[in-house]
Amino acid sequence: MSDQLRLQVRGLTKRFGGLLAVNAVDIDVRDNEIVSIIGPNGSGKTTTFNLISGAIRPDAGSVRLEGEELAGLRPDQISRKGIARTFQMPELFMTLTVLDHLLIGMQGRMRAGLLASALSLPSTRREERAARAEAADVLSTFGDRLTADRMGDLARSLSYANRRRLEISRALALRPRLLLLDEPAAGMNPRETQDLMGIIGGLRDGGHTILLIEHDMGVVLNVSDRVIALDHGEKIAEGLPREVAAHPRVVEAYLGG
Amino acid sequence: MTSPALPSTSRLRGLAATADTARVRRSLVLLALALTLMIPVAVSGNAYLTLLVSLIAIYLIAVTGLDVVFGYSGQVSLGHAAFYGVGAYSVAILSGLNGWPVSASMLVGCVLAAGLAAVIGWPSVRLVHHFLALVTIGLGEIMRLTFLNASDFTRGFRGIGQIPRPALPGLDTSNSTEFLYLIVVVAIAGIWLKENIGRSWWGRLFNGMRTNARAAEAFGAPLIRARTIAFSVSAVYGALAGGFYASLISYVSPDTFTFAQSTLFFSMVLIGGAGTRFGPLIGVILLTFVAEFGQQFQFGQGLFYGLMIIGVIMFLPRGIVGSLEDLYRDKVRAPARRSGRGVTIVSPEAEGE
Repeated sequence: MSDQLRLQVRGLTKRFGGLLAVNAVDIDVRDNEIVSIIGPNGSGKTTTFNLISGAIRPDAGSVRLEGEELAGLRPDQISRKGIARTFQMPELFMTLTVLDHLLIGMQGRMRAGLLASALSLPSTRREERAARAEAADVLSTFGDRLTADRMGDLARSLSYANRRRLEISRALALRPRLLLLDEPAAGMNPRETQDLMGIIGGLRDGGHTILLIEHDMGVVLNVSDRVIALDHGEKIAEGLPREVAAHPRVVEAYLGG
Repeated sequence: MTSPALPSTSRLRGLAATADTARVRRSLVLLALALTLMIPVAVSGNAYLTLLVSLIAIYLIAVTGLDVVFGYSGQVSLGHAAFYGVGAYSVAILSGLNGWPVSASMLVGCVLAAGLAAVIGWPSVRLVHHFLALVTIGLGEIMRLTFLNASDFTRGFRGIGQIPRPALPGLDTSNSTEFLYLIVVVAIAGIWLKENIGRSWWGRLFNGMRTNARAAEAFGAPLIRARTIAFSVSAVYGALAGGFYASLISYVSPDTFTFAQSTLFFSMVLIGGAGTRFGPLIGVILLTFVAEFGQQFQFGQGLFYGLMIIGVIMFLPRGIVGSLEDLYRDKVRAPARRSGRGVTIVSPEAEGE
């Protein structure tokens, strides 16, 4: 394969009892593009994310990251392969600091052994210092909202919008090959949403590859390179944002349902 | 050298710290260490006090380990006496009965305890909350009954006596004060190692799993392996403490390694403050004194002990030290920052290099 895909999902399927939550869904994400999955509530968007990230196991189908099969691996293994995600409802470490979140995002790369860490060997301290410097760097993605003395703040003391930003920062700290963003703008006001979409576009321009879930079509039309629409667990449309938005089945899913 | 200025991650450090306050703090730590090292001399005239402080230091080793598994990783372990017993019986059997050097039998005890924790932990850490706690209670009972019934090795209920003390060049451990020095140094080293783990990415791995296992797993935490490792680390501390206990008292019997001993260890972490630097120390000192002085009041002791645990859980859910940290954060630091007086930039030097 000369033009290998960053993410190639084929026939992804998940049943919950009698409900076919995700049915034979195919997704392609190429290097350095933003693909958005849209669809009304209950269309299987978050389940699709959970299947890709390993939080739940697919009943059938294949998930390949740069050609490597990931289906059936645990979430921690998949994250170490280079897939980082955010959650629809922020899943933060409420009693840990902003900086801790970033450092936990990097933990898959940390090499110091338990004994070396317990003895605080020079190599361990060097690795730690480098990680802290990189964490500060990643946090500057969001200007000064999470930097400086905010880095010592506990996650539970952050505003809702900053919690969302922290989720994304933690995912970026993993240096992901693929970034999964689950409704990153949920709960943000229009202005914050617009800023965030600008930042997400900037991440793509900086070399990131992003798969994004959004319930509100309008939010992602401008930033997405391609859009996939789901309804009742099935892919009903795929293509350029304007095409998908105007697709009769998409209009029907959003209006009728 | 212009490394970027970064705030600290740990709770108290990184708050209102500048390079200056870091230097002050370092002096305070040195002062505290110096004072601690004077304690063995201070109590040397009193055999009872020397024994009591020795026990406190031994408990502190055990409880520091328990804090890794409970305070960091968040797993309730109510069978810590099992590892304490493995360490004690290793020294009793190998050194007391077979003449091995005590340091060698302590090492064997630590390895055995780590192995036992790994074998028991691997399948059990999949359980959460009270289910894991139940498994650890079971482990504690199994080990106590093993000590009691494997009488070919352990001499059953009669116990094993005449356990020697470790021999170290330049140290006369038959002298209780000098032995106490050894125990105190080991305890301080144990706390230092635990604190280093807590500050490293391993500490964050454990803390992340405790705080939000789902998010931790999504960011590379292998939950089962990491929890098993935390459990094994705590077992090594427990066994080391048990080895020193056997050596100090010179006699072991199954009566020591009971569920009551396990709950005592656990209460020490809980009351002192899990996952904090000084919590285990405060918990150990407080409960040891309660146990010692409460002996005069037969019924009052259990009652006081029970009320104390209930009181802590209700009013100080993060233990004495943890609640003081929260108080400092909310009442001193946060208002200071809001009014712009607090300085929170910490030089990397303040990171306890």
